[in-house]
Amino acid sequence: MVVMDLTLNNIFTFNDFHINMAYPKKIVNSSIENEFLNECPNFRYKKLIILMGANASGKTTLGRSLMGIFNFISKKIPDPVLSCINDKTKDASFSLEFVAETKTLYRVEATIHPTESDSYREEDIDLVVKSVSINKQDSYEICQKRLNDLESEKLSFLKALDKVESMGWFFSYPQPENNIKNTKGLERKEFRSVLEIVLSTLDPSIQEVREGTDIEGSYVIKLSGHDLILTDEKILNGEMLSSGTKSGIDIAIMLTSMITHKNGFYYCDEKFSYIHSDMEKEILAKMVEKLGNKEQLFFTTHNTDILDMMLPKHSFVFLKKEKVGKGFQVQCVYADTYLKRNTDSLRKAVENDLFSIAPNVSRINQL
Amino acid sequence: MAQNYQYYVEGETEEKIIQVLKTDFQVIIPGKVKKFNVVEQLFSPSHLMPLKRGTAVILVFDTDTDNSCILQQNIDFLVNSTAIKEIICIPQVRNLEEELIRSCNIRNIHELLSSKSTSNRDFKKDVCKCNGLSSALIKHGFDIAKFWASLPTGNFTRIPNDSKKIKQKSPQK
Repeated sequence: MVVMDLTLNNIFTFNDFHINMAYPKKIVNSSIENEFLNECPNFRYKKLIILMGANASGKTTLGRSLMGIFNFISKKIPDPVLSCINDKTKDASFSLEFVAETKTLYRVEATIHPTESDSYREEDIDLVVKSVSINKQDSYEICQKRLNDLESEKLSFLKALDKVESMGWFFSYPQPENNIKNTKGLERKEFRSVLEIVLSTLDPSIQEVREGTDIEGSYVIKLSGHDLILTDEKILNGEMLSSGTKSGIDIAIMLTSMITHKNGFYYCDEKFSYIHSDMEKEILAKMVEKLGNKEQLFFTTHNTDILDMMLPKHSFVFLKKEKVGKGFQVQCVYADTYLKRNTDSLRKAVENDLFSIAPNVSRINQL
Repeated sequence: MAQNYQYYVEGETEEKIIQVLKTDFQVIIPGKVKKFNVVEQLFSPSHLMPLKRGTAVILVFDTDTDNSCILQQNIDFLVNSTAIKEIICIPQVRNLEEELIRSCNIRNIHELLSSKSTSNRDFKKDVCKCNGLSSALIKHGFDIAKFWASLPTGNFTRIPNDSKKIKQKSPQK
């Protein structure tokens, strides 16, 4: 699945928020191959979105908003979105444009009205689904225009969402100590191999990873004289591993999913906080290489070394939270809007805060 | 030429203006901005620790006060710091509001954002709340050549105006 455009209103801290994943022109010799829909070279979408920004700028909540919307669309249960509404006394809304399995651009627009009763009723939610086929020569902009020209059909959200095909996704957030993302559903041989490579790179004292035989679905991590057991969502004797090595388990889960093209849409949220910068760069490069057709990766990080990677400038999006009136507004700053020349240095621009996205650190001096 | 620039500005209003000038208009060299009144507060070594070696420091300050001693002490402190490549002084004559009046086609500062009262305090509040500062500056014919272009008087006469060093001739676009 590929997300092309998202607007959010009254969802977490997002008000009048808009992010778009199209890019204007083909990049010659781009390090990301085939950054367009298969057989539709004009339908350009960003395969990789590196989200950066100060703390509390919305990187994690953007992922949580998307996850809520995907679950709503897919399961036809509004609760995942309702739990994201910031002010329940006001309207909340979203609009999501995406491409799922077939060559179809969908737009799902929803407005959730405040309710006076304890729970939301079907009539509290206005939802419209529009879709257009993507033809060989179509660009995203052409398809979007065709979506705009379509008439809205008034249906209940349950009926409207019947028109949307199934979608796959994978979100990974920092986990509490010793908690691991579920490994069920992964191809065991592939996961074992990825896990062994990732963990032994992070910690050379890890000798091998074997599939466990005593506990169903488990893996045994052999660490110089100790056996650590990885079960579905837990690691036994996890205290033997460093924080970085533990993070490596979730990273291996995501990598396996990407290598086997299991989910299509990936949101990797600050999984590398405990991991060496060189390792983060290598794994990100591998993730990008593994992205297939109609696949997309959102990657959030604070690591400014990522800015030096040979990636297209349009991959970098900065989230900026600003005080507007009495409230706050989060907006996207696209690096390629400001840096047009190949020779423009992204790192220099960020170090000198060209985009005005640096955290305001002045108050620390009051300590 | 320095690779990194660090602005020290008097208040939130200057922070907002610099954000517009470096990001929206791209008419000044970009750099990180910290709120620190160099005319009233003394630098300590911890202020410089987070800076990269070879940083150029840009001091933006008002000159509507009688005392320039602390500023001079701060400049001396920066001169003696081996990590600082250059010190660029931007004296505002006499303050930001007067600079804006000279560089926009307005007679009073409250005209810029259609502030309800004529006080400078309300103007500052409006700038901090405002989401359309760049469009207000464009609407009122802001001219970067006239901004930070005056020489200080009184106790600040000996302080240079280095604004030409940070003004960019044309946006990078």
